Amino acid sequence: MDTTQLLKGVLDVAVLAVLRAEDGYGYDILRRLREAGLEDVGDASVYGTLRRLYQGGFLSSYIVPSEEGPPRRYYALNKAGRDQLELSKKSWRAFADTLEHLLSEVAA
Amino acid sequence: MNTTLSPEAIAYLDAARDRLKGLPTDEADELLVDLEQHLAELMAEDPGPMAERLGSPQEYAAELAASAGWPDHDGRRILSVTNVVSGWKQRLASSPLSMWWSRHWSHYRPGWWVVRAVIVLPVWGAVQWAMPSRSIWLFAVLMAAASVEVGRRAMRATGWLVADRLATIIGLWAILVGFANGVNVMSQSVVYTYYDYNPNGLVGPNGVVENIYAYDREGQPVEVFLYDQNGSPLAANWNLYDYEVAGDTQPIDNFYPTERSINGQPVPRPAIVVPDLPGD
Repeated sequence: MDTTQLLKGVLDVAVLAVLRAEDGYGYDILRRLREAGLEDVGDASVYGTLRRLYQGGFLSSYIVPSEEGPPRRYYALNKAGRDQLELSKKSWRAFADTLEHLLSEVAA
Repeated sequence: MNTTLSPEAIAYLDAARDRLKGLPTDEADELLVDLEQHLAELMAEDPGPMAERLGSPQEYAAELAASAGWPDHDGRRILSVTNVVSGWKQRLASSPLSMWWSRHWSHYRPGWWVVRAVIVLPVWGAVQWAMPSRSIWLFAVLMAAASVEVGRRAMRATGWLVADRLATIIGLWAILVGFANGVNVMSQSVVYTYYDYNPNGLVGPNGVVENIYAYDREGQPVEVFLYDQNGSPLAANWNLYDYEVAGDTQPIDNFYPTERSINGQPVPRPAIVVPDLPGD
């Protein structure tokens, strides 16, 4: 199964979850997602998702100068973002349980 | 800004910018700032060709815009009004208020279904208030039940959407009309308070009685206190007009004639002829 299609639906949750541990800038967040096992996640998708979550009011952002290149835009989870993550966690668990149930029926 | 980027990265950035032309300018700029930062990070880490890791700049830009929640315009700047409207719709949809609304609206929806039905009754007014009150309540409950049913069906089947929209429009209309009526009644009550009406005043054949002149049977002027059948002092309406009352002391309302003046000139007595009484 093509995981890139699956990823599209859950990238929001994944990005929020990664930011829960620590603030990060785009490239850093991308790296953390890949290290966590989401190797197929596209660079552009992560940046776009960050931008959309920021526009939606779930993230705050601040600029940190970088020695190597242009300044880095860091993103941080705010209250709305943490609430959203909790909500998404619940719906994800329910969804995963349902699918798990369906798949085990197929197996039986 | 581009000083740290290689010519390859600059070309990549420009191509991506071209592909993002359909987006509102400030939104495209934000996304390109991110890309510029990303390209700088990649250059520092991975010397290979950019397109190998990122795909073509067109693909990258399309994926970026799509995941940021923008409809795909294929790089074409469509009609600028549509562009602006879609930009604002997007901004509105992703605003915290709208996010909050979409998350909580489902809790309040049944409440609105009831409100939109019941709110119509007082505005409809004349017909409904003529009914006995128990009928009004029954009617209100029936209306509310119908409205809720329409709302529930509209959520399941699109065929009911028109009825649901219609009910919403009628509800909003009723709220607006009710609001306008409320404002109207309030402004009218202000108008009423303008009248400085003296309900104790006397009215004669020439309109408001301003002063009273009494004569005895010989035709000599006399001063009198006036009372009505209940013994309440009887006063004329002189205080409606801009008369000055002679003397410093507060006049007694029912003692006549009252001495008064207009512009410093005393108001003269009217010329009268006392009739002969029968039996004199």
